[in-house]
Amino acid sequence: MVLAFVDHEDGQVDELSLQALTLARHIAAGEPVEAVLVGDGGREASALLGAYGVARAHVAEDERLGAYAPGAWATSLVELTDRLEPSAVVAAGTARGNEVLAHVAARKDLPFAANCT
Amino acid sequence: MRILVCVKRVPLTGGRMVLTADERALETRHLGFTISPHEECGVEEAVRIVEQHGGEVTVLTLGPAEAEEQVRDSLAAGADGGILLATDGREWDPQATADAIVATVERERGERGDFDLIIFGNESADAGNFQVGIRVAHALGRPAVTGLKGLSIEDGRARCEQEVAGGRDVYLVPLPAVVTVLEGINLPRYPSVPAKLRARQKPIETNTPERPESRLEMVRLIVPPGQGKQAEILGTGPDAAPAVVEMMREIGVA
Repeated sequence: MVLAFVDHEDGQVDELSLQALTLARHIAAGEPVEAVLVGDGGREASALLGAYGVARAHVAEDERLGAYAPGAWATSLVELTDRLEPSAVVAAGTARGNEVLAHVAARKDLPFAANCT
Repeated sequence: MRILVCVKRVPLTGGRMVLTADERALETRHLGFTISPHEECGVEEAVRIVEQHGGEVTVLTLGPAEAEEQVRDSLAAGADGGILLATDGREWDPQATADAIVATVERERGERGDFDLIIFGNESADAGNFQVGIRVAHALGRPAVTGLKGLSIEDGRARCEQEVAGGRDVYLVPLPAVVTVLEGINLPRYPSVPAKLRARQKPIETNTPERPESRLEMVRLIVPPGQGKQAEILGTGPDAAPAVVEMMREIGVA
């Protein structure tokens, strides 16, 4: 299973995150793709992800996660990946995607390839 | 206060990129070297903070012996001392780079005292891996704020500013902390001749850490197509003004 960190704003999935989902499907090569969304509006944004090949969306909700906070958001991802054990975690190479994944990689002491085109 | 600025020796690329025969590196025979633009601003920012609050700036680089050139340049820009972690020239992956920096910080803590602030460029101009600052922060148990366009020290805290759509986000983090800065946070000073001469007398300590097994390997480089186009005409005469203003906003000078 490949896990995609999907960013969103005002209940809409961010365009570059949709591209990251395409990459996730490519890496997954037939295995399921799941998504994780953090922050206010995540649940609303997740609604359309089925059309992009996402088998299951995980939404991290807590009033403390409302605004962007890379360390806290990364904690949500670390807890989820510890539980689900995906073979890879993917995100858009935006400032946020890079930062959240860098925190996750640092916490789990795993390699992280940033800014892939 | 003690500030550590981490810099990386990168090729000064002009127009066309030429690769070596094995396509695993840039052909650098005819290239000069510099430090990544974000890092140049990091050095300037550190020097300004120390000019205001007192203390000293140490510049650190992990790279080949020739990277001493970049350390000297940073000393000429106002840093007080340098540390060169000398490699055999092969690239180190981000985890290994972070580990080497952490080991140095911990050694310094025992010998000369802790660094209140560690400054990185947001990402290096060549590899663009982005993550070394965050890894170092985690290893040292310090907060990390990235992509800064503003930085100041107030009452033992770092006031960090990021540019976002519609304004700036401001974070206050307790020291010691790790930050990464973006080009445009300041305009680096051009070192004067006296400063360059003084730089020759400033100390540079050299260590040779052992390169661990690589966990992120660069397989080959590819030059993107269409590269070599060097000039884009934005318009002519007064009609070009809106495009020029837009460009100036994009690069942060307006």
